[in-house]
Amino acid sequence: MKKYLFISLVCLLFTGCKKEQTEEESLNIVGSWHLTELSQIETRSVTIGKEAIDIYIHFIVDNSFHLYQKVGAGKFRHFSGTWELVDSKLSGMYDDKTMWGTEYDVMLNNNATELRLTSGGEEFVYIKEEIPHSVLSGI
Amino acid sequence: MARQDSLSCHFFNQIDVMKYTHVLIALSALAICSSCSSESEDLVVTMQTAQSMRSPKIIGVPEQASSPSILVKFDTAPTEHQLETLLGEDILTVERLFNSTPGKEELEAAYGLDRWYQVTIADTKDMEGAAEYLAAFDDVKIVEYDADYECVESNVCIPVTAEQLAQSAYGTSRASAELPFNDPFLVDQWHYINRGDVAVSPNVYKGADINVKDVWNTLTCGDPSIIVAVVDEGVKYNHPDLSGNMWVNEAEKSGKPGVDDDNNGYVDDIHGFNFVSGGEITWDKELDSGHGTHVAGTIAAVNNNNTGVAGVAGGSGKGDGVKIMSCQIFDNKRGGTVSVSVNAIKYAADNGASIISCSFGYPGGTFKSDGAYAKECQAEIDVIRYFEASRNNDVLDGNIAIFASGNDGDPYATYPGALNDIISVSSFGPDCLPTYYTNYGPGCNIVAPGGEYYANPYNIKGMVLSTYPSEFGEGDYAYMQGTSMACPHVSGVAALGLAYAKKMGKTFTRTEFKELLLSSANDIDTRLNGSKYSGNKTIDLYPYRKMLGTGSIDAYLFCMQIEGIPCLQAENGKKQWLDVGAYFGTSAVNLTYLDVSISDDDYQSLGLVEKPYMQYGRLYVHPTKLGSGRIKITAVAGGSIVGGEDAIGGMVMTQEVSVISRSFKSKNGGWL
Repeated sequence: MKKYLFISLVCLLFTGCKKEQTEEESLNIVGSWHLTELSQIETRSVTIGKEAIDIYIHFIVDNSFHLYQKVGAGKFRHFSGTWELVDSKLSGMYDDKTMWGTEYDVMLNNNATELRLTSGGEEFVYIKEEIPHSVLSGI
Repeated sequence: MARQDSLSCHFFNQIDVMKYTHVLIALSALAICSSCSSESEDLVVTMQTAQSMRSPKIIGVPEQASSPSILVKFDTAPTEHQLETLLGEDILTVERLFNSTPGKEELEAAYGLDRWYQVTIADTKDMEGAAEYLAAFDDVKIVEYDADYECVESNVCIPVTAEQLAQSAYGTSRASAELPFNDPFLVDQWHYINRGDVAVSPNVYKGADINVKDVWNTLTCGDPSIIVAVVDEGVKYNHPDLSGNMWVNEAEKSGKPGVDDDNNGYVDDIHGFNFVSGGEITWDKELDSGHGTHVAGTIAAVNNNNTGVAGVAGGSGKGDGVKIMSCQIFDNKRGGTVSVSVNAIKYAADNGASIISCSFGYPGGTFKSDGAYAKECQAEIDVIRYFEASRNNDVLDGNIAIFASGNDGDPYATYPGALNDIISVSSFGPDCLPTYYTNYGPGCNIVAPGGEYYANPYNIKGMVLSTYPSEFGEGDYAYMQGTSMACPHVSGVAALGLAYAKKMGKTFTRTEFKELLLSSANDIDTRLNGSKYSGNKTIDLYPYRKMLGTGSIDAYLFCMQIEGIPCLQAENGKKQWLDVGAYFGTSAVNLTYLDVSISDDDYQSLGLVEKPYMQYGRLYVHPTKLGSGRIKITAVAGGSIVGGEDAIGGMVMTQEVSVISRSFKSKNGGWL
């Protein structure tokens, strides 16, 4: 009986571990993302006031990332660094050792094609999308 | 009697090097006499009285003019009858000063060019009498003496052959230099890429250059549709390092010799025109100096052609350099007259030039305000305005005139460059410090490499290396120094900016373009401590503080600004200072700011608690809402006051930045 119980306990523990890993997998943000919506207090768009915002992020499985941003006019600027996702909280650091400006709460839709990052009342909606060559080559 | 009536106009390649002294002076002898005796004083009074009795319509002084002509501006475009009435025993001919260009009649009239006439005088010994005669006509508004220029010997131009340059590679090996082009002597052109090699100067400062390397590598090297007119000595258009970038008037090239094939009023003007002789462009006469050829090489020597030197906007070796037009106003030490220089500038305007690079002007102090200059040189002002209002490219609503600030070491710029809305360029050396000869202060808008030699130990490599006529028997290249050499650096950068704006599909007003150019500068003031030894003298650096315009020109920053209005990220709910140095240049901290403005809508969008303002080169904001707003910052480029009718001063420049307020921000500007 004791043996049986012990085996059962092990099974339960194993089952619990498996369930936790599944949640992590559901937040697999690896891939390329393009900002499509940006919430402000009064607007939802990819502009802030008069300024157009164009953001591409590539999260890589080795926990590095590449960020291509165009804020307002001009060309895309390239940043890179490392990211970390713990307990649905996404944070990171740029290569120049500058921390991201904030830590984000992460949500993925069911088929992992839409990524929602929220922080400080701002919500950013990214869709899975390849980064255009024109963006990459323009750096 | 402190008045200096002497006028002179000269090139600005180092004060000792060569001077083109324009004219003499009404009362220079008189100034000497005035301190001698009471008889002399009586004479002074008599002459002053005579001077004061002349018609107020007359500008300039008769001793300026050896040419048998006087320039006359009418109130309105004159009729044939009005012109005929001027003719008489002493007035031989009356002809339009400027050729009229089909399609530009309206613009010519707007700037009064249709009202300027050149009058030929029979008796040049009585120019004053002729001037008074002309001034007596009611419909004559201005009578201006057609001043001469003359050349003074130069002594600091160091020609070098390719062989000599190859043997004297400085400092670290040429092989170690990572250069964008294969021009063998680009390595010697510290003024483009200053690698901090002490062989250039014992006090060399790495990065003391125009920061053009990354522009060449990643943005643009030029555009053949952009034409820069070199208003100067003749340019050696068949120089092996220039010929590929010379402007070509195809109609004349393929036309008949001796015929004005394109009907623009000038015969055989294939690469420009010699306005002194009225004929072929020349550069190799006994008393020529190679000045025009040197200036042209800085702007657009052909790049990446495995030959000689590089030019700022000389292309990448694929025929993509900007084009050089030679508008020759000096010839064999004989200078042109006012009528020569103004026609050269009009030619540039009418034949496609977007920029005129003018390394000449009057000695420092000749004029102390725009108003004083206008009183003596109205024809020049009219034609400069006409040039800038002409439109020869798809980027701007006009053209850009760029002048050297002068080599007199004076604390103010010279005219015409000192005009408050014209760019005037001062000079720095490879030590990132002002050169010993450069003018500085009010009217000087920006600084660029003009170079300087060092006497002890003797070293010429701190000067500017560029193309030179080999006809003088000393090689195809030469080192020269002066604000004459600084000016074409800015002309080249402006040309690069036009090329890049065209590539990006951007358009600007010429005022906006000048503002972007002048705000694309780096700090030089923080280096102005103590003294430096140069030009055989010790110079105290402190007087130059806040006197070198907006700082040292930065080609890369200029192109970045051309891309669009810069965005600064601010953190919502916090009082903060935003660094605008990346957009105003690091010299932002030293500028005099006149105003910071924001629209009511944008004020509300950001939820600003108080009006933004500038202090120590940073923008203060306190947003309380997520949003954005555009803020206009107005500063003086060149001195602490704006130039104008009564004073020499800087140019007003307004830069717009966008501020985005977010609930957080990264310190490095990254989005995440």
